[in-house]
Amino acid sequence: MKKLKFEDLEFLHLKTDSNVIEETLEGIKISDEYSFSKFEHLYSESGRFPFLRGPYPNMYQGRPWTIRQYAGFSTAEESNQFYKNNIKQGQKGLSVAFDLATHRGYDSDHPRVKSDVGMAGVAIDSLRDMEILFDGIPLDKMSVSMTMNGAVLPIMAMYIVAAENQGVSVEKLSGTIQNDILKEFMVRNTFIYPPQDSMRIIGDIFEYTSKNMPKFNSISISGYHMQEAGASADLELAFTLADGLEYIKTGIAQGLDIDKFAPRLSFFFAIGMNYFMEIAKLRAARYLWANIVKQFNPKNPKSMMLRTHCQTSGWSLTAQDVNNNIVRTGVEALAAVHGHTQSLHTNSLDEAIALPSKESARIARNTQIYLQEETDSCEHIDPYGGSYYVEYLTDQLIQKVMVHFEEIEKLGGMTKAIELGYPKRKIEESASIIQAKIDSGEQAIVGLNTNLAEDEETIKVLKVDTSEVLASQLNRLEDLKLNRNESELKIALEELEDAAKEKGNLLEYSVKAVRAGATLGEISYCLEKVFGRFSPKISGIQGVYINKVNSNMKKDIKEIQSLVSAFKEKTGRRPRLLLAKIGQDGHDRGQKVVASSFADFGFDVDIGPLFQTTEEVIKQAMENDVHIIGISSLAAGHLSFVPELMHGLKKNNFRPLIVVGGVIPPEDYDTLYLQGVDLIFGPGTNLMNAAKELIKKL
Amino acid sequence: MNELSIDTLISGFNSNDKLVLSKAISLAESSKREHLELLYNFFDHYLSENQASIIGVSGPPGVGKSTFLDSFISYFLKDKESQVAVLTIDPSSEVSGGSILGDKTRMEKISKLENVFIRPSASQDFLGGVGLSTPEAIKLCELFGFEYIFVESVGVGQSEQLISHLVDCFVLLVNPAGGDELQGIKRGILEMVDVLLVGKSDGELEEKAFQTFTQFQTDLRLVSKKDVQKCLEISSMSEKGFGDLNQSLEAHFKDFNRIDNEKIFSSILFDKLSHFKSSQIKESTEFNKVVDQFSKDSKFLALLNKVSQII
Ligand code: B12
Ligand SMILES: Nc1nc2c(ncn2[C@@H]2O[C@H](COP(=O)(O)OP(=O)(O)O)[C@@H](O)[C@H]2O)c(=O)[nH]1
Ligand SMILES: [Mg+2]
Repeated sequence: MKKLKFEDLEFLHLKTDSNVIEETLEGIKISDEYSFSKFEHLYSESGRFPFLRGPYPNMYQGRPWTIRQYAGFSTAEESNQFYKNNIKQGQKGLSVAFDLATHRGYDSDHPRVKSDVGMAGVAIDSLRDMEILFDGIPLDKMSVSMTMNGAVLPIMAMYIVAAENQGVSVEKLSGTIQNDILKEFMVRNTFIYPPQDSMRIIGDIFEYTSKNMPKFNSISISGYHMQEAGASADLELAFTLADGLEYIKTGIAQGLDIDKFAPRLSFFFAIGMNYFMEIAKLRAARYLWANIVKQFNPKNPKSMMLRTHCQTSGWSLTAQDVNNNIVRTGVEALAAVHGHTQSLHTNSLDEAIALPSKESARIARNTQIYLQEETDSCEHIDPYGGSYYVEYLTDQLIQKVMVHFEEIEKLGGMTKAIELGYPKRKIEESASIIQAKIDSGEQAIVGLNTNLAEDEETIKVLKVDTSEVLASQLNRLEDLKLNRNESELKIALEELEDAAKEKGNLLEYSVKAVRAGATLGEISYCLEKVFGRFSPKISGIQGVYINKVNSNMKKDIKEIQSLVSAFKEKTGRRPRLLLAKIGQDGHDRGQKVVASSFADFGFDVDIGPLFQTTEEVIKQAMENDVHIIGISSLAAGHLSFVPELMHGLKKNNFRPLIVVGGVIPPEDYDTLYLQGVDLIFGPGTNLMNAAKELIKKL
Repeated sequence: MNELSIDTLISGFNSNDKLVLSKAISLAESSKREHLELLYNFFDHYLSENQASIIGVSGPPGVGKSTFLDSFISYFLKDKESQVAVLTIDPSSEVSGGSILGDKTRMEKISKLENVFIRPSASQDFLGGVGLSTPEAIKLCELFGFEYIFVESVGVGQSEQLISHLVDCFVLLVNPAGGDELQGIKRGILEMVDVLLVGKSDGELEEKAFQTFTQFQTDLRLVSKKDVQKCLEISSMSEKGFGDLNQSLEAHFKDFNRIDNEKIFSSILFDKLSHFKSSQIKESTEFNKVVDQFSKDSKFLALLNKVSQII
């Protein structure tokens, strides 16, 4: 393999020497004038190497992108109903969102997932759930996308066996499994096993699917979650493509021919509010990927062709004045289409409050129908080709990415870089910068720091009743366990464990285990016994937020720091804050941003590990004698764990200030206050104001 | 819990209330005179027979101290139910004074155990690696009845001197970095080491670790003043070397006779104050403020006198 060098890329190196008027988050200098005249790549065509202008020759003229809305609701029955409705209304593919217990390899009856079952997606414990999920949906015709990474083996196995039981043989299945574990260790946080073992699982899935499932995308290499965690466009691009390279190497190490699996690799990007940047990003992505794969001498041009799914950015949506979100999503969807995505999810207006309601989901889906049916968006190919600005951004992104590649290489490749925590730190820094820009008003967000609504209307949001879902899952599990052949099960699980210890395709053995009645938790635990459960290293960054908060905020910072000093004078210690995450909720952007800014304000901040129980949080809070417990809750667990926490604190006669932040629907506020919560900070909170309010309350 | 008083402290310690211990450590961290007075008053009144084994683990940032403690203490507690305290010190930011206390998140396994108490403290700019409150916190844990007390401190030269005086067994953890690392470690520090650990001896680093280990072994023999000095290769991932380390610790504590605890303790306290009076050590606004406050205070000076009389 020859190493890819920037000089080898036959792209025009666009330079501009005019006035720089601005610098983007990516560090790209924006000018008011571009003076270059050559666009060599415009002689290239869509559908041909290097695919910059699009993966297919006739793009949307032949067939528009696939509308693929990501959804999953509490029980398999409910989700099934939802998919069927959508299919009736014109959706072409379906996309399953699992709940967090399932993601992390726990059955619904596991003690660590009490507050998670069915809250943020559909709960799948066994083959029975999977069969209900796809009931009446012909799996040979419907392309199914599944966002599953940690518990990918049992989920794939259950999907395969559910199809079998529908009478559909495995080679007819089409769709995509996310299966991108590397970004889990960076930003998505639903890993189960350590990196090395997780990579082995991916290799096994590549092997199985390339042999048995020719129409199935064996991985969706995802940058989406990176942008949502705070990454700028260049970081999203660089880390995603570097992950892709790692997966190619994995496939080759598995003894697979590049042309056998590279055409089944697919991508997934986020599309935020920087319209032109996002279009440039998709073009640059295709160009870079084609060149990366070329190093492996593929014979089939399709191996070099980047196909991608996109989702509009949920992070860009506000909990305030929510109708603005419809417009934001529309703009983002347009960027995805003009950048030539192959499929798209558009977010709902209530994104920052709860899972979508029926109403909001309809508007979100229709946003794409407008673009397909009412506009002329499907008629052109690469409509921005030749635009000075978009070409310049495309070129700049390519250059930035090549620099990041160099850095990653120096660290010993992407897996190594991830082990060292390098990409995670970069993304967290970027997130802190963005937070500082918003808090200081430098980055405008309508309805939040500019053009506030005078009186906001409240909307009806979806509510999931945990106890109901939990009860129904537990029933079904119990029933399953009564009605299976225990000795067959035992043999199947032993074989799986042996395969994990030695050799053997883990997906093949998981399929056998599912046929024998094994649950998702049993299969996951069987592998956990061999591989162990991974716990990530957490570190915090300091100084980034405060450096970015621009000079007109100096006064606010001074004010906070003097409040902190006054507190210290009075009590002898700096205010000490434990930022806790309870349950399987892995959203840590907020936790990290709050931690680093509060440390910058002069607080002593304890960052709690992910996935804690309330008992563990209480123990840590007491040992550290904190003044404040701040809980960041984004996956709707708060109504079940807050009472538990309050009860435990009371029992221990320990009562610090209790603060809850994150995605808290307005209608939950009163309940939480009644349960004893002192302060609530929802999405969009200005952290300088929050700090002041907090100290005053102490 | 209500305000701490001498009575609540005593009854809390008597009834094994860890929240009271935690609050007492907060007194030690405090910059308020009343708090330290209360604390020393408590030291005056509370007697305990308990003698803990105090183990200090020092080394540069990132060498793997927290990971080691998590892994080793889990290993160590596999077949016993001992009560263990872990005190860790995280650096405070010089700019804001605030800190992110991250050590405990590296100790996920032991932080869940009922018989392990972990208290991270901010260094408050005191000597970089050792916290302002560390001596008192160690004493509190010993009075409380812990059998083992581990102290994690960031090694930045001078702080090793201090920490080695505070503990019964001084463990230095070094990177498997070969010769360069050796150059960086002062002879004076090597002299104080009871157990030297070359860490991360696993995977790609195993060979490097072995080389470093061999170099140190010869080196230690040359500088050592202590009769028993151990050098081991370990890995917190594979538990390599843990068995040997366990034996070394057992051997160390078998005939161990601590020089009078009080003596060390009060001399440290004096050290602490006099160090900061002298200009040898990096200016510390945080601590100077405290020292100033105390040295002007006759009541506290009297208290300090009393402590030093015990010598
Ligand atoms: C970013 C994001 C992600 C990223 C997370 C990246 C990361 N490492 O954090 C990715 C893409 C990986 C992701 C994945 C998922 N997500 Co998500 N995600 C979001 C999103 C869009 C933004 C959250 C965010 O980071 N905001 C920015 C931060 C800075 O804000 P924040 O955390 O709210 O914190 C602010 C305040 O709340 C406050 N605050 C918070 N805590 C505290 C504490 C203190 C002490 C103080 C003072 C203040 C404070 O101050 C902060 C600054 O303003 C939200 C929707 C939304 N717009 O909020 C959905 C959302 C949270 N996700 C959701 C879901 C369902 C998921 C998944 C479970 C989907 C699935 N089924 O697979 C996965 C799994 C993730 C996991 N492991 O848990 C749902 C949850 C539904 C619910 N609550 O009912 C949401 C609400 C979207 C939706 N409407 O469907 N997600
Ligand atoms: N390979 C390997 N890495 C280790 C070992 N111990 C720690 N590390 C890694 O070294 C880094 C720093 O560890 P940490 O315990 O925080 O170091 P500290 O700053 O000295 O407390 C982390 O990324 C650990 O995963 C080990 O025994 N082997
Ligand atoms: Mg540490």
